[in-house]
Amino acid sequence: MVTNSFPGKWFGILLFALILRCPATAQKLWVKELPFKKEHEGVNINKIYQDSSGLLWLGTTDGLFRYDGNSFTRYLLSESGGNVVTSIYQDRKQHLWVGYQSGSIAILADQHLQWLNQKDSLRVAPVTDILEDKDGIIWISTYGEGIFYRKNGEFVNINLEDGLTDNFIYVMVEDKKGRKWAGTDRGIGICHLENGIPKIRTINVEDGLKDNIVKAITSDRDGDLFIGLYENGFCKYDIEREAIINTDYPSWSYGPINHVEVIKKNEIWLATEREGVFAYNFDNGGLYRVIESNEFKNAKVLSLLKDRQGGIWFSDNFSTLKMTDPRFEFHVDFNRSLQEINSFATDTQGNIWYAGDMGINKYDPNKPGNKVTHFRIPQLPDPGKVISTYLDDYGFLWLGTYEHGVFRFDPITGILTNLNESHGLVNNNVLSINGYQSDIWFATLGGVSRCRLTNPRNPADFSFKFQNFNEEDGLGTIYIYQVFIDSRGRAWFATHGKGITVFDNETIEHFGVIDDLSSNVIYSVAEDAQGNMWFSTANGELYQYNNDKFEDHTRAIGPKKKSILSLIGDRYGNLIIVFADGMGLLDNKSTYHDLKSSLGNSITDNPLNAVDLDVHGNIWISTQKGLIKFDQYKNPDEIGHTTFIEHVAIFFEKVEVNPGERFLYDQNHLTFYCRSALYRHLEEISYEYMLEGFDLDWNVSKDYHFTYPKLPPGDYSFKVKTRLSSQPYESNLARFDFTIVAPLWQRPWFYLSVICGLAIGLFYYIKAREKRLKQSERMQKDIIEFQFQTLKSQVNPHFLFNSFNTLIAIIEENQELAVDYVSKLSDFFRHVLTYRDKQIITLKEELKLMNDYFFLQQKRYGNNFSIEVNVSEKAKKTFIPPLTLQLLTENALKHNVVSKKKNLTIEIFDRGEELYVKNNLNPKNPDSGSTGFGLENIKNRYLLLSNKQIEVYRSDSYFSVIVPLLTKIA
Amino acid sequence: MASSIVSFFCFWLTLTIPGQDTIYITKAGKVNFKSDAPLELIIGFSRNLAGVINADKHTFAFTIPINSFDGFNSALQKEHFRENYLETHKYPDATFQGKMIEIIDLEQTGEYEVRAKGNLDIHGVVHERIIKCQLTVKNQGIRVATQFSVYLQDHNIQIPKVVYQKIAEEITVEVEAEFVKR
Repeated sequence: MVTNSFPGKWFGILLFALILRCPATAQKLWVKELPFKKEHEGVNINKIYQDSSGLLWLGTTDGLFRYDGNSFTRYLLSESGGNVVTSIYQDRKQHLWVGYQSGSIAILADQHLQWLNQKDSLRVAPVTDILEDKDGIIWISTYGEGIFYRKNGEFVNINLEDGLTDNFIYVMVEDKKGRKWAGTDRGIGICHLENGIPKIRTINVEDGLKDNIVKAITSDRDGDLFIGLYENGFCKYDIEREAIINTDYPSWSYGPINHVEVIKKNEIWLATEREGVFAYNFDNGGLYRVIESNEFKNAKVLSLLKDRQGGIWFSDNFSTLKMTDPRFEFHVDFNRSLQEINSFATDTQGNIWYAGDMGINKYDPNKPGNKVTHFRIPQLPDPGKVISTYLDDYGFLWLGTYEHGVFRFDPITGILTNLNESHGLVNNNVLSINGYQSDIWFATLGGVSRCRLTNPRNPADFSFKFQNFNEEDGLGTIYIYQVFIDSRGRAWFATHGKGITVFDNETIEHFGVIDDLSSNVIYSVAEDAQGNMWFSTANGELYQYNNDKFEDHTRAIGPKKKSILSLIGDRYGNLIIVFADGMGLLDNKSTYHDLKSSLGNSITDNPLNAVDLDVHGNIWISTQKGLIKFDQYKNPDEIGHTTFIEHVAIFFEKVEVNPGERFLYDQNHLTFYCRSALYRHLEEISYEYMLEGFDLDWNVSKDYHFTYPKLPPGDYSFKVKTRLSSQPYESNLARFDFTIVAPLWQRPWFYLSVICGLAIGLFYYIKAREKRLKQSERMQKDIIEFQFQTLKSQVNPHFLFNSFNTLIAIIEENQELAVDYVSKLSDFFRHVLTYRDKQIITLKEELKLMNDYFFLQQKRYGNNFSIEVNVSEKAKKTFIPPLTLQLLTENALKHNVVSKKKNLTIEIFDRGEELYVKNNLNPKNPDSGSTGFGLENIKNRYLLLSNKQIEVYRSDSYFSVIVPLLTKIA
Repeated sequence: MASSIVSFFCFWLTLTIPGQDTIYITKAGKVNFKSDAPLELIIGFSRNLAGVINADKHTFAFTIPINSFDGFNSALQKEHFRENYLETHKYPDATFQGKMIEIIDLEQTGEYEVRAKGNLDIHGVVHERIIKCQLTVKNQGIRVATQFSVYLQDHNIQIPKVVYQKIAEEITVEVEAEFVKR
């Protein structure tokens, strides 16, 4: 055992870290200023409004602004002024109504402010509130012209003359019974429509209101109303009992209340004119100032809003926009208790135990009213000297002191026991206490003591055995800042000079410079939820120890070396780091999040290792200004929808889109702009996104816009959600479905129709070709057959025999005629031979041929056979298949009797484009075998030559054939 | 500024012209102000407050030429007050006009506390203020007394950093005026 006289510089370090005292002003809430003022100096925010999608809207003296967490976007109603926004309201159709000081009302539609129908424009008085009531009627309150409601598209006025208390309305809200409450200088006017007629009731001082001037009214979820007055504070209106409930705050001395905001059930915040913001709890009657007036520096709070994540927003008349961070709560206020907490411990119920006010305090954070239970113990040294606190597994509180050893306190019996060097403790300066079951460890300025309790469960029997470790016992040093017992029961010592030292299975091992640590002075030890050990050195380095390996994480927490005062792991695997000038969080993916911006300068020179994790998962940090509760996961369920696809751009050009939008094939460069309403976690947001139909997996990005160039045609679905890197939060999934339409020539139906068309074309082509081939084939066949038949018929022995008989008869009678006859016969055959290869000949040629034939036949039949030809000259120039008339004449001779009594006369004449061949009918009986070849042949030839057909008419006395005359050579 | 004077006189006229209304006026009301800064106490006073009260309509109007303020700790200070801080060449008058929130019978002898709500125009910057006044009605006259604060910041009155410690941000103003029936 060594009594110490320590070297001055080490003492200095300890003083700096442990026992620094200075009076500090308490700050109830951490307020963070947003960069609005920086960008818009001189513009005041009259109204802060959160819409149903979580977006924040700011009604300012220079237009409407939208804050999406990244930037402020301004919307102007007119370029020439008159943009002082005095009210904002979103109706149930999600339209944003904006009321102006000029009396104008506009609606934000498609990202543009549009005047409400001009005839609806109200008289010139500032619009103080807009609301849509239960029946869907829009109500407008004005400052100077009373109230208006919208009926059949026109505004109807309710004012003084209708019995309204005053025309100057500060505020208007609707209660759950559908009545409109209007706060004025002369009390509250309560209006509603009864069968379309306005009914007005007044509440004022005569009804128990403490002042007639009502500048603020708001309602909570249950429908109760909270009323802020110009003088004498505020009150509640119980909607069920229809009664004013005045608080028993006897003398409100904080001036006019301009705004009231419900923060949680039965807790309201009151923004005063010059005195800052107060919170009042109706359950316990506690009123406390949450925001000091100096936060506003003589400014007035213009608007107050609690967002859906629990953050509270303020604006003042000096352009300031601020928000609080609900992750942090300020608890024990040292200004009030006039104490300083160098150490504390949390118990299994979530209470905080610490030394203070000549005794020990138990602080119950959830208890309404007075949260502190005090145990008066005068023999305890000055609270400033209590530098370590520990609650063991049996409910005993251990207090380590500076110079006075250790005290064990039994909260049940109130018995306090002191253990010091005389009892075997290695040193009386106990910097840290920790324990594991019946082993309690003490880190001191003289080494380490282990106190083994021999009968811990019996409070009456306090028997123990000390085992001490110091330089000689293998510890190597005697200055131990912290003892930490990990989840495996190993004891870790943060030593001054011997690095991090672990006591495991009764053996001691050191890790230090030799293991690549930068320093042998370790301030803090912690274990995270995954079982990794973390250490911080006096130089501000941070190391992780896992599987016998040290990993340097200093760079993760920023380039600047900061003095790390405390480390603690939360139950989600994050490591919370408390610096001399702030605080940060290293998440389980080794991403660092600075919380300084949320904390401001609230943490300065805290005590060393004065942090604890309570049973509810809250981290408690003792600061010079009080106890801070930090809860990274506060109300994650209340947040609701947070992720939105804000807009879509084609080639970076913003476009209006609807779900299921169809883009053209050349509009295939898409950018999706996303947004998260997680205002208080902006620094930790990452987006997970995927383009279904393109991406195979989720992508993670810190960026909020995602571009897809050159998307091929197809159906897509863009999906995005938000994650917070430090906590197991996953937002809603926002999605946008769209199609990129293939160009015309790439669409399947186009292909199909082209193929069909081609197929049909080909089919018809082939068919036509086939037909043509068949036709010409048949024609050839017919021609050959015709030629053959004609030849056959003309050289018909019958014809020749008859001809020669006729010739014999005339040779004797008339030789001249006989010569003529033979020459005609020869002509005839020559013509037949000439014409048979031709398809057509002129009618004139045919008539000539037929005349030859007639001449030959007439010599045989004499005057019994005659042909009367009556054909116009014009018709003679037309065409006819060869031998047509000859065949018809031959047919007539073949089928009819030709005698003196029964003459055969053939008439040939033309009618238009037709040639008539008509003969009288004296049929042979029986008809000499007709082959039917003649007519059939003519018919077929016409079929091949033209679309005109021969027609055959037969009556009792006539047989006629109408032969079409062809005008053109086919 | 000119327009504010014109509007004030228009208002004055509306208050004074109608025949039936009971009008009270004052022409020599007292106004004192006090700047209680850490390093210096400055007091100024004027007896040039003009005011009118319409007892039937419960409206009122006050005006005071800023240059009528006297006092101060030095002539130079007075000059600064006029030329640099309040810029009297641009904004010669301070006005307050509006209506009374509490409706009282000003014919009835007695003491009343009334809140006057109106537009306070100092240094060309108008703020709506509610100012609590003590009214004493006696012998056909009304005595008005009030005390309120004016924040320099509210009215865009710029004080050089050098004299920051010598001029308070919050100026206390006391008003006392005897109104007589016209």
